[in-house]
Amino acid sequence: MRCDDFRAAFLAGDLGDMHFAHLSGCEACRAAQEDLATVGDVLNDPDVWQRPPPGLAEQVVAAVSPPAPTGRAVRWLRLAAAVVLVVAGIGLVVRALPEGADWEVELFATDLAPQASGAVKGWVTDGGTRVALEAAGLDPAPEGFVYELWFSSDDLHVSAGTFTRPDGAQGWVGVSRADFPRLWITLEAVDDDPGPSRTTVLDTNP
Amino acid sequence: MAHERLMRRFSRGEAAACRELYEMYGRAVYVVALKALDDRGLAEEAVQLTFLRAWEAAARFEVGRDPGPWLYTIARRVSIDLYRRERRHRDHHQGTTEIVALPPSIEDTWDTWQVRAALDRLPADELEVVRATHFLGLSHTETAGKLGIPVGTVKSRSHRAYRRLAGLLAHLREASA
Repeated sequence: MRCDDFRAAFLAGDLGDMHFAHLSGCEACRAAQEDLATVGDVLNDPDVWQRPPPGLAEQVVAAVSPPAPTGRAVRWLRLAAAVVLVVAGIGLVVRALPEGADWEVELFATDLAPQASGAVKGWVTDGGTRVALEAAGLDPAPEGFVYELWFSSDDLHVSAGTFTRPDGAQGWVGVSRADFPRLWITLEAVDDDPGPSRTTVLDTNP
Repeated sequence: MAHERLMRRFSRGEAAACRELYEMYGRAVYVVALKALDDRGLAEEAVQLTFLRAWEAAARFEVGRDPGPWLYTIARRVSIDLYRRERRHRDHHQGTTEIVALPPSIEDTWDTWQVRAALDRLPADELEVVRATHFLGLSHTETAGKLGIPVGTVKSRSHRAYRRLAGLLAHLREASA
């Protein structure tokens, strides 16, 4: 009997007298028993047979290589650009607000952007909150993507606006920070998904 | 040589090379993260972070090396970071400040990686027999019925598969990352 046949039978759980006879005379197979038993344990672990969801490959490739916008994406990119312009327009108003903000909160780096840092200032108004972002260590959003500032309370997320250049971006949100204590910034593909992506670059609770 | 060509393209920033690397190792990364984190959503996040970090570090990768152990090391590190992050959040909400100890499952992930990577190199017909035995818990007769093939074919495929696995995993401990 060859060592390969013994080891195959071991993994199959199908050892017979001739296999034990081989084992008694084969030091290499005796030494391999512990590893073979480990392999058998892993094969019996349900985790090793799980599959990632089908769409994960596309998400991975998209994360490393922002796609060029095409068709519908171009239309959304134009919409996003309009939003950015609106946010910039609000920024002119914000600069006219008093020096002291009503609140200021620090944003911390995440694993996706470990060099980033930032802070958000807020001015409470009758209808909501005007916000201004100061950020460092973040590049402008790549083509086909925008940054988005979120106010969140548990699983409820409200956008305060999108922008392509993080530092100096300003926006408005119709909720209060007291009710939505978590502030965070994601990188969003320009698409029709209204919710936050999982690509978080700054967060009050990283 | 195939690895070398792939990693040369990967280090040049070719998105198609990233997809090929994912096809080769994505499932192994996912399984390791799932083993470490015991949460499908976190495991998916770990897969994305692993390939993103590999992408960012690709220029420093020696293209002649096997990318498997390198990816495993990144995946393990990412999983540990995510595990600690989740524990910090949980402790914050519970008002506790315990030192975050890693779960024992983290230590077993190298074995898991190697076995999953070896399974991914089996021919499809051999892999489905091994899966039927270990994941579905079927006998050879039941496997034959499920796959619609003779019992003798199941036995021969099974023997070939285990011989191949034993060969691929002959140095489980020596190959430690």
